[in-house]
Amino acid sequence: MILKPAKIHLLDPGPLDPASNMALDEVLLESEGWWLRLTRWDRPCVTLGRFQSWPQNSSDESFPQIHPFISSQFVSATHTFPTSSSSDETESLPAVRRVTGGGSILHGEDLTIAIAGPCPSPLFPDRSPGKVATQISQVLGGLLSPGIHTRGGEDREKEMVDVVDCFQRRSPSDLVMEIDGETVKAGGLALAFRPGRVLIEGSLHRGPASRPVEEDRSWMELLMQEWLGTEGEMAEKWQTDLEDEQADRVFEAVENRFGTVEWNRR
Amino acid sequence: MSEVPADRFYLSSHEWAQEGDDGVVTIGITEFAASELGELVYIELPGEGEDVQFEQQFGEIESVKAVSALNSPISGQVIESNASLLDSQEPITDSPFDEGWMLKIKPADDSWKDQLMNPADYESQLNNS
Repeated sequence: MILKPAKIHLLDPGPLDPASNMALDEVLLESEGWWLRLTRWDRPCVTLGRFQSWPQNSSDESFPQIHPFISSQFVSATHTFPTSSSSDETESLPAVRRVTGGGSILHGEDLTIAIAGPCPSPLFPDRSPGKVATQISQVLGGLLSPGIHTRGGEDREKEMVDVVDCFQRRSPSDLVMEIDGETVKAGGLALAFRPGRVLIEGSLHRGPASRPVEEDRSWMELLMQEWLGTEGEMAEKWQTDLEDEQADRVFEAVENRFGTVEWNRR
Repeated sequence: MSEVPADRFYLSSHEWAQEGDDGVVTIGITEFAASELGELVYIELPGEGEDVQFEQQFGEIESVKAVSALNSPISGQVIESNASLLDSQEPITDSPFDEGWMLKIKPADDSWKDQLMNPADYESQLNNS
């Protein structure tokens, strides 16, 4: 069955807390139509992959690595996961579990995006996760700064599954660039498939300098135009408020899952 | 071309169901689905005594940074879950119709086959996808 994306919704609800951000992505995964979302954070945080184990202590390599694109100011405060339910989260980074796979990601200065839509469709000729991720990565790489490209090559995700930090793992769909002779990961994707739907969450490091939100929106519009070609229609305006039903479902998902210890600390 | 055994029934989302002599139905995912998913790293399955519903999610499987829903081809009660898959998912890839089975289910009713595709129809779906 071929589905034609008739319209792409553009959503930028502004900075949200970590649990609400991840709950909203799941709501979009379960909604109808295509959604392109700019995800902004009201505080620095860490997101964990769907099946990652909660780090058992706070003093070893289980921490996400400090990425070279992330400014020292950003991580000058204590850079730890909370390790028990009684931890003072003001002294550590809050962490929330995603519905997508992969490793943990430090958010705050990255550009975080989410795309949700029907699957299969012309954009996803099959549901092979590796092919979908590489396809999206190639589009992103073409729009980002010169020198950033899709890694390609051998898939080492399985052998690196115990590496906590997404940006230390190696996948063909990674966005990478060369810095001082080293290949550095500049962006990563994670996916979730539900019956007839796919959610793609992406984190892209473009440097510590803050940019006006209009710049991010313009960049994402370019992404959609590049991806859709002349096939799809993009919404003319960015939606900044959630529909009432969406807001109710986000609230419910935070209460029942994304805001709970049971969900986040498996 | 992916193998499509003739001794079981199929869901369009690439799960299979096979009836045993005792009426218990074993379910798993097809060779096509396993090959499309790629290397598997995690799986979550329901435990004994839990109910599953036709075409509803019964578990999740992760591959290449993607988490995919597993849909049940039958309604009924789980009487056994393949716990060995929690430690190693390789049987799903290497032997999806045998050692890679996921659940054994006591059907909620006898009409479960009516809702599924026969092997010829499923093979036709694969050829047209």
